[in-house]
Amino acid sequence: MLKYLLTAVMLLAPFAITPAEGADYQNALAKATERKPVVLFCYGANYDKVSEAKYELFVKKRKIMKYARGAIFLAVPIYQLPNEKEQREYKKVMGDGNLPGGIWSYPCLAVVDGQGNLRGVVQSADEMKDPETAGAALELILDSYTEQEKLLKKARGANGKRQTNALAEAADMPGIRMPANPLGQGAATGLGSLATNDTGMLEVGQKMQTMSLEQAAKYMRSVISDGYYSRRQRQEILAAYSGHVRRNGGSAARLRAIYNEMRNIDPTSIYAAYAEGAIKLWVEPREARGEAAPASNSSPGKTALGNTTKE
Amino acid sequence: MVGGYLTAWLLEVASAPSAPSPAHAVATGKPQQTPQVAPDVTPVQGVVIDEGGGVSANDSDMADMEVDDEDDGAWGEATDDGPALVERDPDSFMPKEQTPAKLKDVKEADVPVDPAQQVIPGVCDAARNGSVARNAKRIAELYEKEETKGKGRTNFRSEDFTPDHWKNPDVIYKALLERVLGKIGKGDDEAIWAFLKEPANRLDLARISLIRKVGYEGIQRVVEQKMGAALLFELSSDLDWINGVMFSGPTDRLGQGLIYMAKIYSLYSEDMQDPVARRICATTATEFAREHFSEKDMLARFAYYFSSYQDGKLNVIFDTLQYWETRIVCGNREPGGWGSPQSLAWQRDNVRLPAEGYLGASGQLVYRLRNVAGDSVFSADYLGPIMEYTKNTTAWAHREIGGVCGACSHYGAYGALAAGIPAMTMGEPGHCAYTVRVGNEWRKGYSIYWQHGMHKVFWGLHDWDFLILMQDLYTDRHKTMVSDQLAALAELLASRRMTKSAIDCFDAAVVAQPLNWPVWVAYAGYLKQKAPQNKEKWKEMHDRVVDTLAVKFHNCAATMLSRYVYPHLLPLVPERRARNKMYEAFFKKCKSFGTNRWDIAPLLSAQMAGCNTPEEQLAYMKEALNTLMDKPDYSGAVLSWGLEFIASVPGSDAENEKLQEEFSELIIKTMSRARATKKTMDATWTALGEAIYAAGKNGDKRTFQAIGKLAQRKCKKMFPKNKFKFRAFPGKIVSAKGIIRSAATLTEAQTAHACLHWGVLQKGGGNIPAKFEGNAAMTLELEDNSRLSGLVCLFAEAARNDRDFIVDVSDDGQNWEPVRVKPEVSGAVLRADLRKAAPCARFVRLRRDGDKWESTIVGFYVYGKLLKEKKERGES
Repeated sequence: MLKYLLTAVMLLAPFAITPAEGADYQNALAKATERKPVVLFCYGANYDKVSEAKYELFVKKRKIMKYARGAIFLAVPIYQLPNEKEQREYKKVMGDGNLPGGIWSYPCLAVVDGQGNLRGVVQSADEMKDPETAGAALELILDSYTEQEKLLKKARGANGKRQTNALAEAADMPGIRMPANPLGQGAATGLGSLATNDTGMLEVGQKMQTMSLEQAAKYMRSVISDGYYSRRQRQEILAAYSGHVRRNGGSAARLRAIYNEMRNIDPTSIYAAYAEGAIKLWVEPREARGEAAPASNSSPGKTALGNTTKE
Repeated sequence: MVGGYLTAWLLEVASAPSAPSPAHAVATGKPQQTPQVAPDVTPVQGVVIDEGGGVSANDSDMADMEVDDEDDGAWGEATDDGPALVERDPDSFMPKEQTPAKLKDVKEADVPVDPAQQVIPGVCDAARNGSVARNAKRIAELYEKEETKGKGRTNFRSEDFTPDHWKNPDVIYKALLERVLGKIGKGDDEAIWAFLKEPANRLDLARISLIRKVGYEGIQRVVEQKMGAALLFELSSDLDWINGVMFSGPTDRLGQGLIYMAKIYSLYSEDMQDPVARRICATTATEFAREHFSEKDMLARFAYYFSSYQDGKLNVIFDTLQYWETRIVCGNREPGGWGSPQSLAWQRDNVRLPAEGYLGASGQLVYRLRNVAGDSVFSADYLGPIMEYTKNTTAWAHREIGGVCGACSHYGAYGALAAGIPAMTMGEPGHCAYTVRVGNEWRKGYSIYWQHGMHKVFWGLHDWDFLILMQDLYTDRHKTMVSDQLAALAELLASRRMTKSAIDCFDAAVVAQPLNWPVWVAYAGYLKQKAPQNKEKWKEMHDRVVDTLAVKFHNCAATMLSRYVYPHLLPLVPERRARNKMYEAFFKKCKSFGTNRWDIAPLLSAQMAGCNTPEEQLAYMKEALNTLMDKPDYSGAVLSWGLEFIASVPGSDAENEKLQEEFSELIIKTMSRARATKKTMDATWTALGEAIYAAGKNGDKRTFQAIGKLAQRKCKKMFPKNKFKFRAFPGKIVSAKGIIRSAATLTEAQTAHACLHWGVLQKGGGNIPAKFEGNAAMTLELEDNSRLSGLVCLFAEAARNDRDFIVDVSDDGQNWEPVRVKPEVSGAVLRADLRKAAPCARFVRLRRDGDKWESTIVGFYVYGKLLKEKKERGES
């Protein structure tokens, strides 16, 4: 009985903090913990019929609450050209705080940690189509959040390779982002950096451009094998290498191997989709023609890495 | 007089082949022969005439016609600016004497002449102006009242022309002509105001304008479409709908627009009772016709907006848009790609923001010239692998992979457009930005330069000022409607050879709504045709433009004056003093830039064109400088214009050489007079910056140096006092008195500090943005031909040394030779030892191999020995 009572209290907990009761975003952030982040339901309040319908269903009819897992829940009305009354309404919820960057569409469910970092967001039309789908996406984020917090705690208590590994593992948690300063203000993360230059190009790709394919392969392997990179970063390194191979006469077989590896690192990721598309676009036609090596560069005009040694 | 006209007109009607009334035609069911009595039914839509040529084209000719689009003011990524973006020549608004033979209309010359109408009315006195303004206001208020009563609509219907009637447009036209002319009589003011009060008359006027724009053959083509006649019946019965089509923007290629409307009507006839469906239908069809987009794309666009509206997926802003605003939304300029239904739908569902939120939406894309695999954004490989996953959805693909300014700006603008909010992309020099309308205000997103070339325009003019003019014009829409209707009446009267009444009507139209740009242009076109030598009327037009349009829209007014008024007026005003008075009147209105910074040079050039001799030009230049140097916003621009003008004067002949010298001295003298007190320091610095930048661009070394020295004298505090430490080369610094030019495109803020470019050549240093990419480089013209011993370049930060820097030399700045030397880079210092090669040159260029690299240079010094003697130069 007590168990059920506690569950009921937990389920109702989201409603302990609502705009109607005068609590605001700052209070919610203050109450957030490593296990209970803040879940914001942000919706267009005066310009968007879709948002209004979702608000009715998700919040007023409480259809999303059971997926919130006791997180602190706050509904945030977003106004278009707000009048004074609307500005007051918004301020009542948000106080002087700002929504974290990274929210790209309303309505959405945003998961925010106590420092105000956006850790995950359910915002695509597909995910927000009904409370069940949105709820499943939210649950994934909340699960990941708890796990990621544990890993970050571990990383903060470790150093060297163990710290980096914990960070990389935390970065790989599905559906969730890393906080801005995972090891605390000013501390270096230890996670390998894949800086881009002023054209948005990965520096590892830039470095490869004067290398032969074999040198580039060796370089790519050495970068990946140091274990300092997350899954996404490893896919990016492979993507950079694949571009170098493709533009410089690498064989279809080599390309297929790179794209397969890239995809297999995380088959649900965007780079896995990129790898699949690249196989269809650049590998399969050549395999169908029985080509051992490409006759020419497939990219007309400018290329990033120039023409260097042929394979 | 009046009697004479009426008699003539009645005679004309009586002598015309008898045409059965529409009712008769319907009753007999017999096809009616097209009578030869519609002298004025020359389709005037789609006629594009270049400034000098006077070439006309009807609908069918348009497709093959090449248009002169060079002066479109657009920058940035290349877009296909089709004929819809070409500014219309005023001539194109008027029926031509020579009517194309294939249209079965007779010539204007066949309309009987009323001698009383063959005079140009005098200048309007204050009493008439006041009366016109009052009456126009009253009528506008009446329209507003009607609309308020009908909850946003007039709701006036008249079904006196059935679908069958539309099979004989000539008969309808004649009946309408009879009715309208019968009511406006000789076209005096009272009759016109009384005419406009009645919704039935306004409906007739819109119908008659529609037939005149499309022509009989065009109407018949519409009738031949499935449900074409039914569309014409519905359209011509509903005052709100037909007004939305005829008076909400340009009507070029209206015949095609009606065919598109008929197509939609045949597919969605049951939905067409909804006024919003009518609005989406009319605006999508007319804009797609105007832009020469295909029927398939048009239908897809209509389906997107109509279904999104029905499903409640658009921003509520869309529900209450006017026709002109809906044209911007539904007529957005990319039928495929960003504007494809799938991309719009994706953005509609996944980028749902309040209107102001779209201004930051460009930030949702990662800025990447090369994608993660190193493929350039300019190649298909950039998005290629991801297109299947994103179902060929442009916006989605870019969000996953990234993009540069073009993609970022399209993402922001098309996000808003997908939600039904007016927005558009705009070109800037080497950049793409965008604008979103928030409330009634157009706000800029991702913009870094002041030059904006709008990508969706109504009148062929792309400057920001015209966008705001369009906004203000249609915000005041009831007055604009009155003005548009007066202009339609003027054109009708003109076609009836009632010159006096036509001019009176045009006068009334510009008084009723002085912001009505297309009416100004049409009026100027008519004056050009009927009264090219009438100084009073042209002066009246000039004064009206200055007193009304110029108050807020300086750029628009300047365009009106320089393109349409000065070419006729200036030759009629030979006295310099009188001309200067006119110029001064305009400049007085320009206390600041107005809605946006604008290019004053074309106006100054148009004024300068009124000068007949070099002496007059010099005097004009002096007066312009004196007037504009006191206006901080314009001082830099006028100096730049002066320098550009000097550069354009051919220097071969001695007289011109002298003139150039005089101009140069005048400019320096004027600038020297400018005080640089604490208060005005910034303005002086900016003005000098713009001038030195112009001098740099023109390669005018003398002025570059003069302004640099002047700036140092007047704005000493603005220059750094660096004490650089580097190993120098033997010899004199031969670059200090030279001129330097960067390949970087400067922002407005950077141009304001362009005097620091001169500083880069001096001991204390300066600052110049540098761009290295291919042949894009830092170019320096030395004091004179020199034998070089070395070059030192000091960057603001450590130079990127993964690729080689290259030093080129040249005698003429055109043909370059690389020097065989590898510059050494150490931190922020680059040194090129040229002693071994010891090249002789007047020009030196520093470039860099590999990808684009942008940096800042704070010092640039070339060492060597000046070759003063011909012998030393190796010349005989």
